[in-house]
Amino acid sequence: MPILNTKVAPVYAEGVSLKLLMKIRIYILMVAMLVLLAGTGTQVQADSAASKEYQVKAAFLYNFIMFVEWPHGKITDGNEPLIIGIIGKDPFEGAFEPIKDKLINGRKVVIKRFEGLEKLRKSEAEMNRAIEEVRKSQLLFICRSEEKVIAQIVDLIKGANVLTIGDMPKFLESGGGIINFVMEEEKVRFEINGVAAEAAGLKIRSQLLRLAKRVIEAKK
Amino acid sequence: MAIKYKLMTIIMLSCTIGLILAGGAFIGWEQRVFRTSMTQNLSTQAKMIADNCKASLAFQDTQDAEKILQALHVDSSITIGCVYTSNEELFAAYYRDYPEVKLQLTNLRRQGFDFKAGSLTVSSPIILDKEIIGAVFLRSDLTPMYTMLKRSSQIIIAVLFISLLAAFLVSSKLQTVISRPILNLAQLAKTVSERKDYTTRALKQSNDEVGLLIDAFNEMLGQIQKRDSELFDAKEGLARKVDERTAELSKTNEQMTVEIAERKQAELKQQSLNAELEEANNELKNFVYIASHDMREPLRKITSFGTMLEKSLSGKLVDDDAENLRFMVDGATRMTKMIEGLLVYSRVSTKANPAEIVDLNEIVQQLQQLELSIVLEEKQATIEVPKPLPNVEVDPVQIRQLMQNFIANGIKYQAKGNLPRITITSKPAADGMIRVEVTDNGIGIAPENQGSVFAMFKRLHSRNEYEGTGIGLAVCKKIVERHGGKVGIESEPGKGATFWFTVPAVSSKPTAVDKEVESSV
Repeated sequence: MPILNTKVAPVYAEGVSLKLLMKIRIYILMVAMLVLLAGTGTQVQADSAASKEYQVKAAFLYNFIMFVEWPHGKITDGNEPLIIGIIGKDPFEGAFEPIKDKLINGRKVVIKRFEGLEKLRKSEAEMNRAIEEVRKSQLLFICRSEEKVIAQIVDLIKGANVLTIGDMPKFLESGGGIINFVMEEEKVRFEINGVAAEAAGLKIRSQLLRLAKRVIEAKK
Repeated sequence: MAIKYKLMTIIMLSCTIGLILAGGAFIGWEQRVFRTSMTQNLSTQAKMIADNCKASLAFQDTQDAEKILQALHVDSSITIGCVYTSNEELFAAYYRDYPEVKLQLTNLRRQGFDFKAGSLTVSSPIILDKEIIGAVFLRSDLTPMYTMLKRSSQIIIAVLFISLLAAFLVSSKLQTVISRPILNLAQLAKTVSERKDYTTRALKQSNDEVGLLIDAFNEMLGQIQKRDSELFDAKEGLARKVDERTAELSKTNEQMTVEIAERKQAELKQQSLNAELEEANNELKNFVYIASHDMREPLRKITSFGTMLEKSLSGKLVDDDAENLRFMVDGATRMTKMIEGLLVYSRVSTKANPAEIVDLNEIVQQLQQLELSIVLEEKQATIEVPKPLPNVEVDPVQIRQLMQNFIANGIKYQAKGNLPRITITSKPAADGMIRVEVTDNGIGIAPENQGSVFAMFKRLHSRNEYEGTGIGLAVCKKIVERHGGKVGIESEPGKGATFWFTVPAVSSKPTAVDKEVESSV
């Protein structure tokens, strides 16, 4: 009971040693990176670090499903797979490989990749078909290539109860995205736009909200 | 210890034991319940933390997990709280006291608990969408349980003391129900035994066992009272009887005293009579001796002058006168012999010599050569002594007379033409005596006459058959009796006779004669 009733207060006193450990680990990491950067394979190592980041992000995408409630009907009663759409220039590359067979709520997860909005607009029919597919997906990752058209994408999937996720600054404010990845001390964190989630008809569980670095809430 | 205290002790002891047992059981039960509830509580907490940490672990937010664990500080008994990842790496931790204490990992996938080393450790897996993504471990010390047990013990001890106090008060009141009648009875018993007053009775107050006891006691008192009075009566009767008996006894005593006096008088009389008799006897003996001694002289004259007359008048007297004269001389001669016999008999009593050691063989030899030599030759008789005879301690003159009489007797009573043969043997008898047997081959004596042969003047045969005075054997009997011996006869008619007598053997003590000999030497 005490745990539930107690508002989690920022008490760090006891966690000092852990924090210290992490800091040491980070320093070691940074030193290692500096050494590596100074060497020859700078590009490869950067790619490796980036791919690790996206592996975490891929895992987070899966995990978000479990802390978000879609309205009835969006997730069918059958065993149809859940769809994660990725629109724009895909940064994940092979990040989904380790978790591709993972089931969520007993369902398979399918990754569907879509061209960027600029490209889609070239053909009306293609555009409509793609948008329809996008609207079917439960989760939509909007890549940085779409930074300028976030609002338009959000507008296109309006009423389709899609959880939009991005990893660029101003994703929440400028376009009405729901969850945005941010990096904090080399760790993947996220922020949530509660207003946008509400607009999309999604309920975000409090545990997830608690973990968010920043939550935009509706002003009453 | 008084019954009152015994009763109270029993009650208090029962009470104490009951309370201690109940208290112990209660504490044991409480501990069990507390452990169960503690485990449940801690498990619930672990489950809640596991649920709360789901998102933290899913999104790798250590800070969030730590925040959640921090909340454990509210419960001061929880010492450690840890969240591990599915790779068994420590994800987040909370330590109440010292961070260095590490939890030993048990199976992550198991919901469980472990009481060890004064602490309780519970684990709960963190499950996200049916997948175990980590585990929560909580460790609590058992302080609350110990605190609770301590408090319970204190309460129980307090209850114990209060109960004992209550039991003491109640039992000290209630024990009188049992003890009072018994105490009253005891007091009464003491009074009865001290004052010997069996008329008092105990008051019965209840119908239980104590009531029965009082009834029995009263009955016993009644019986004692009855016995007592009976005993008193008996005692009086006894005293009376004793008095009666004493009176009788003193009366008898008096009579006896009188009788004893009479007897004494009679005895005195007897003594004087005896003395008179002895005197008379002695006078008689003297008279016999003197008479016979003095009668010998005139008799000898009659005999000798009669014989001279017979010689001088032979052939001158007519037949009848000669025969009458011979009868007269014969009578006088026989009378002389009788008087000599009487003299010998009386001499046995009057002229006694002191006892000496006498060799019987010598006596027999001397008799053969002197006194009996003529008779032996005349009758052609023989005397046999198969074994040497022993020495005896007797009057030497009298023993010679004795042997002479017995041998002469054996030679005298023979059938016509039979050669007399006398055998003398001896053997030891009882009381230090020697038994001497003189056996002949004569005519013997019929059993009916054997008792009277030793009587004075007793003769079994006529004067014509065997000559004799009837004094010889009487003298023998007298001599043996004077020596403290016995005399007897064993015989069958026609088969000879054995005359036996006992005389003292040689005593070990030296005799007067020996002493004299010694002094003369």
